[in-house]
Amino acid sequence: MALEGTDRVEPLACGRDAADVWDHAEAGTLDEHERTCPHCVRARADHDRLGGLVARMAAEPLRPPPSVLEQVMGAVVADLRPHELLHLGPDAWLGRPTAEAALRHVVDTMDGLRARRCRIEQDRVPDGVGGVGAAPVWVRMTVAARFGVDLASVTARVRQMLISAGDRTLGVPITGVDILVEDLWEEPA
Amino acid sequence: MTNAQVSGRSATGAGSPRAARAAHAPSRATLDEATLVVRAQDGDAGAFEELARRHQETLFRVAVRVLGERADAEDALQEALIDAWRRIGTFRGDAAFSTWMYRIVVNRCTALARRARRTEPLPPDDGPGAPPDDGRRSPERVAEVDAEMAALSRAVASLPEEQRTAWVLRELEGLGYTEISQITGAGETAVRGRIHRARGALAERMRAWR
Repeated sequence: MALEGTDRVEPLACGRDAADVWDHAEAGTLDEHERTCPHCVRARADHDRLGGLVARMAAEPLRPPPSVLEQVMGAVVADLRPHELLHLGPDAWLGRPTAEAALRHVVDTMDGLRARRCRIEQDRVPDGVGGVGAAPVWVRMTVAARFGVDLASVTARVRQMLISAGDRTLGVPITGVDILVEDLWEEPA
Repeated sequence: MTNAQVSGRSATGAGSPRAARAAHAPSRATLDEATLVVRAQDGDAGAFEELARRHQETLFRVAVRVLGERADAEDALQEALIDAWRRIGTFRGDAAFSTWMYRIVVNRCTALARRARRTEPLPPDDGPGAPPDDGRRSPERVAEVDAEMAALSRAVASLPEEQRTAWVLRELEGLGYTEISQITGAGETAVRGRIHRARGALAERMRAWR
């Protein structure tokens, strides 16, 4: 890559790289030459002059007001697509992200599992047949599991829990659950 | 780490929650970053909010130091976080998530600084941020430190933009040359050069204080 002249670090008269000398002074790893050579001593004098002040600047507390995150989240929620709805019955709908968050929460309550992605797909509601209740859905869930859990039995439990939550909490019959264990984690010792 | 796919159709009436060994769901604040990122990519606004909460202070610090003004930094942070939400699907994990977030806020700061330069120059005496906690120092020393810090702030604000950004990331955030290169898109040699020039220029301007 071509560099502009101002982007290069010219070597000191002794041949050392001035940026290296500064970094070594900062890390406390100056070698014998850098401690005694007059060129290096001059190069690191600037470091010694600025060091404490820069450290104070770095330590100054700077926190954004809460209003920034509030406004960001307002925009984020407005960004969610409103047409992503699950049909619950006549004139009754449930936001798909809300339903997916509820199912993730179900997985999170299980020891050794953390929900990651969740997708709920609902069978098409035939036109004019909206009066009998929610159309069935299919759930695709990816999870991370703690190393050592019995994956076969834990995924079977996830399936049972999700189906139960669909019936009892969301009011949507779940006809199938795909579970992908995409990561394992180990508890810190 | 591994993939183990299990898929199937439910049996009618299957499933009792009592069969599972239930625990309290971990709060979002305790979830690992990889899980939060995947959930945010999946459209989970709550997961994104937790990511934003964890990173906002760092990003704000960078924005204040690069732009030299809290109000501009608040704008940059807000725009950067909304940008991050809209683009989080493009995060592939090639670099650390924090590096990706730094890159977005630095880009926002660059755009804002250029916009500001077209309208009016940054005032030379914009001291960024609140003064430090000076409870245990004498009024004379507090005034001296405040003045010295304000002088350093002015000196930082007077640096060319590319030098200022690289210097802030290195000296105030403590990042390495490789990560600064990934954030700014400049080569590592250029990054080293810019930081070195910035250090020299600041030392020169602060000589009167020693």
